Amino acid sequence: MNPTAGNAIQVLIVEDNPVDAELAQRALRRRLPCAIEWARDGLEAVARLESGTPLPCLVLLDLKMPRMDGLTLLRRLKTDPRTRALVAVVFTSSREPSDVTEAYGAGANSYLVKPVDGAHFDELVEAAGRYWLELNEPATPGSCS
Amino acid sequence: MSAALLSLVQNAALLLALAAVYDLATSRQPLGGRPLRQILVGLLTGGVGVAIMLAPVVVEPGVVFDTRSVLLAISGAFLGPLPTVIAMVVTAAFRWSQGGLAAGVGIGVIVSSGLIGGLWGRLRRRALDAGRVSDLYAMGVVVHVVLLGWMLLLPWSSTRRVFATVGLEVMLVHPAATAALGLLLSRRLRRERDADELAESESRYRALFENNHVPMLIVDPQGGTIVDANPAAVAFYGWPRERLRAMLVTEINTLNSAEVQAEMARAQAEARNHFDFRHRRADGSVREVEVASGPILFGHRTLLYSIVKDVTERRLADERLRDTLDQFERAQAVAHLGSWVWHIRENRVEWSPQMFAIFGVDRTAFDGDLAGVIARAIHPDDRAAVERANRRVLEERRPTPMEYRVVRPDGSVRTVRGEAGDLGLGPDGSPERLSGVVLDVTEFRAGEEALRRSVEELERTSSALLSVVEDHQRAEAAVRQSEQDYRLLFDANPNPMWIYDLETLGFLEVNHAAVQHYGYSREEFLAITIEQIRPPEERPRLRAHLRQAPGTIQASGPWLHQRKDGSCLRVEVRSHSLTWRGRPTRLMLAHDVTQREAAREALEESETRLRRAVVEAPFPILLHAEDGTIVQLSRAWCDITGYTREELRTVSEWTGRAYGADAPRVEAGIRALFDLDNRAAEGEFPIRTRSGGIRVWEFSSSPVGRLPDGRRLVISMATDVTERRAAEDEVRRLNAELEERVRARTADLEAANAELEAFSYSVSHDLRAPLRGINGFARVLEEELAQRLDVEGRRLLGIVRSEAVRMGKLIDDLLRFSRLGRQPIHRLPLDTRALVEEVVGECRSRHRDRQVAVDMGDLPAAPGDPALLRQVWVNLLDNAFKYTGREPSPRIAIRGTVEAGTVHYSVADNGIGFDMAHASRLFGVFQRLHPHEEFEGTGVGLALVRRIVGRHGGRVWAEATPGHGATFHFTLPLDPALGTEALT
Repeated sequence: MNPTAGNAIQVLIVEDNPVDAELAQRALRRRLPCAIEWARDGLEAVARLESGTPLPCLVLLDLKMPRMDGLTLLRRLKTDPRTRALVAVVFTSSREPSDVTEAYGAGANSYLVKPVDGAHFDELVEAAGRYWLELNEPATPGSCS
Repeated sequence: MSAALLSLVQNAALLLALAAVYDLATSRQPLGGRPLRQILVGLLTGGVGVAIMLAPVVVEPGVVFDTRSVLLAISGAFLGPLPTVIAMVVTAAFRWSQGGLAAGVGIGVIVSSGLIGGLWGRLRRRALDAGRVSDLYAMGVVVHVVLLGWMLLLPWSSTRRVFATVGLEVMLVHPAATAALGLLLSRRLRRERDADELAESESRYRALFENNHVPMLIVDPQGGTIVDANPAAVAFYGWPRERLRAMLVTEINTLNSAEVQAEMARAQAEARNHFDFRHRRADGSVREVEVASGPILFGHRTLLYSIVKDVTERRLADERLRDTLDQFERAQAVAHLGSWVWHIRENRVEWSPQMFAIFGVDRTAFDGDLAGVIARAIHPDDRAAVERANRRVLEERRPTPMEYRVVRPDGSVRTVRGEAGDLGLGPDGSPERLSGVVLDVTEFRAGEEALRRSVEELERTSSALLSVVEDHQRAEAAVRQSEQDYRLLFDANPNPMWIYDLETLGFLEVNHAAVQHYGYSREEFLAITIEQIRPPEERPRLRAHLRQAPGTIQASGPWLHQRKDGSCLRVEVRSHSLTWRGRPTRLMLAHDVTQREAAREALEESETRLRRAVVEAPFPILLHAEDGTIVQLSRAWCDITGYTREELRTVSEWTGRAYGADAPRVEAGIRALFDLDNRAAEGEFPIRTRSGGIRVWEFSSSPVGRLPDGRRLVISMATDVTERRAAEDEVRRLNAELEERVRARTADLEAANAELEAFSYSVSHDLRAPLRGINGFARVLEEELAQRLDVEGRRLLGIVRSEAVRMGKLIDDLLRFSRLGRQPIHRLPLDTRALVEEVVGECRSRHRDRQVAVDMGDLPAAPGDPALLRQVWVNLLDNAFKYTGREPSPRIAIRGTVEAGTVHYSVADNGIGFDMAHASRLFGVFQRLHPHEEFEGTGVGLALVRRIVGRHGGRVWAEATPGHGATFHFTLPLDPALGTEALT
């Protein structure tokens, strides 16, 4: 990681449920020193990404959200040349095969189902963060600087 | 050659070259036609004129020669007045502008040449059009003689010079040039005319081809490719036009080439103008077709056109009609029964085939002339009687059966019995037609002839007897001899004879034949009376007959006599009064006619049957003539409609009654039937019956030739389809209703499914979220407040967390269960043994701490959804592992057998088992027979098993004893058709 990334956000959590959002933030912060921002739905996330501030490295997004849902957001991210290289990890409670297929079809990098068990939840979020932020640094390092 | 001649030839060559260029340049546009084009042609011609005038032969300044006279003469002759006048104006203007001494004369030449050309064109049109060189040359000579004439108007010196310099040359070159240019132009114009005609004939052919409703094909005889097909052919064969155009005739014709050759030879031999082929259509059906074919010149190729006529229906109808006629003829032949129709007005008779057989007449030589028939074929002795009988029928309108003799051309004589039947009356009530039957009774009559001969013999005998008796009184000696004669005659007679006493009715003498026929011995006869050889019911008739018995010879009968054994015989008798041994007696001769009577009865019966077959056909048949007369009507017609035969004398009466306001239209349709040349299915018509009800009849008609008077005849048959139509409508209605209901039900189901889908989606998403919160924050509490909680607090938090996790599992299982009802089953061949081995391995690794003995027997394969059946085995085997947890030596036995199209699998364990009283709850959702504290699980596993097996068309059940283990059974059908989705 770039040591100058001190206050640049690296993870954008798009999640309408504040409980899940907080659990995810806690899980990431506990073991990964990264900056996290939270958007309540797709529209908020779009606004954040188009605000001109540096782009995050990882977008953790829920599928079912008010105003703009996760799939719409995902498609938008993956068709806009500016945001196409962002790592988008779907983090949802749905196991529906159709959701999985559609999410990957729209360009998701990963599809994770939220576990009920807190310990599993923490492990999963941490593993995802570690994989995408540390082990598999995205191909657009500029966006992380 | 003089310089002037050379120049003139050059000028003429220039003209011809220009004309050729002009011809080429305008070859795509016709020269004649609209005024605008004519003006253009005129200007162009003028242009050519100017061009040649630029290269003249100059005789002296102002006097020039060129070939404009040729151009203008030809223009006048061929291009018409308007272009020629324009060309004249253009060239004249140019000549004027050139000025000089001869300008006026030059213009005169222009005018005269154009005029002569025009005049020539009008007078000698045909010769010019034909491009006759001599005519063109003659025109050239005239034009140029006039041209030289113009020269006389010049000053004499100029005239002389002109004649000296170019006079001869002009007369040499110009007429030839005229002929050449004329030829060029006439050819050009002919070409245009030919092109017009060609285009016209081609478009005519096109229209004929495209709009013809008869299928037509154009075929290349080389290779047999179909070059073109008209829309009717496309519709008939069912191939798209492009496809047809790429096909070979052999793909359509079902005959092979040898058969095609044979048929062509046959057609030629029979002088037919068509071939009988069988063509296959796109849908595979084969139709009988008549193909008329011939060569057609198509551009430079000779192709064949084929006109295809579908005659399948006609052939079938012909066959049926032939069958019917055959049956009729066979019936007549068997009965030796001929039928005839006498058309009274024309005095012409029409015969059925059997009539020709009876009369021995050649059918082709028969002219239908009744007088001729009577004169030639009826025995001279019977002619008067036949004629009398015919007259009586007409006068008294009462047919009388009669017998007469027919003399065949070969001289043999047949006895026939004639009976006139139906008398057909014309619209005015006068007899028009008489029909009847003729029955050949020669064989019966031969028996009667024998009788007649016997009777004659008897009569002779009687007379002899008489004389004998009379002589008896006179000459005793003679008696004995005569009596011997009489004995001989009497005894030797093959017919029964007897003499009885008129007063006592007792038998006095019987002959040998009587003894044989009646079964009584001579002595027995002599002891009884003649009453006793009659059955009791005949005796009163006998007595009545005897009371009025006349004295001399008399014939009577038939009588019913009874033999000694009680059986009866029919006899005709001849009797003769006789005084015998001094007593009044009668001499009787009996002729046994039992067999003849039986034959007569059989014949009558067969006649009745025949009539019944025709008139009493069980469906409506109508035979009608083109003048609207209904000739014959089947009884069914009247029965169904309720109208009587008398009410339906004409077609108008029928249509008026049955069709009401629609009658004129229907009647017109019926009239049109007479123009048919084959069977027509007219379709269905609603018929109004006498009672006002409506029946639906399906009509079909075919022409059946002409009546003897020349009127064409049509047979119309109908099928009453009222009930069928009603039933079909009902079926259609029910089907539609059913479909509607299925649609509605499907829509309901789809809506319900969609709702359920939406519901489970939100369940999976929303119901788990709070659980994650509970568990997640309980964990946060655990980690962050660990020091502040005592052991009990941590235990309680642990319970909160594990309960939340359990709830999550319940939700997951429930979702899986509900999804199972909706997801499609992919039935594939499945190696059950491999699957079970794999699942057992997984179970072992999940329960690594335990030693379970698994005994796997035969496991036949059964098709099924691999993922779902894996779930079944996982659940059953997991249960078996789980519920044998307390057993010191746990054992599991897995078996499979094939039974009647299904495979029956079982998983038996020696675990804790269960009480069979609860067996019914076993497979319900969330039904647990053991507390989950002891055996973990959600209670969905077996419910899943039942649903999966059920959707495969199988069955699940279990048996157990508490403490002694449980066995779970399920079956899967081997035939996938048995396990349908509907079995969910």
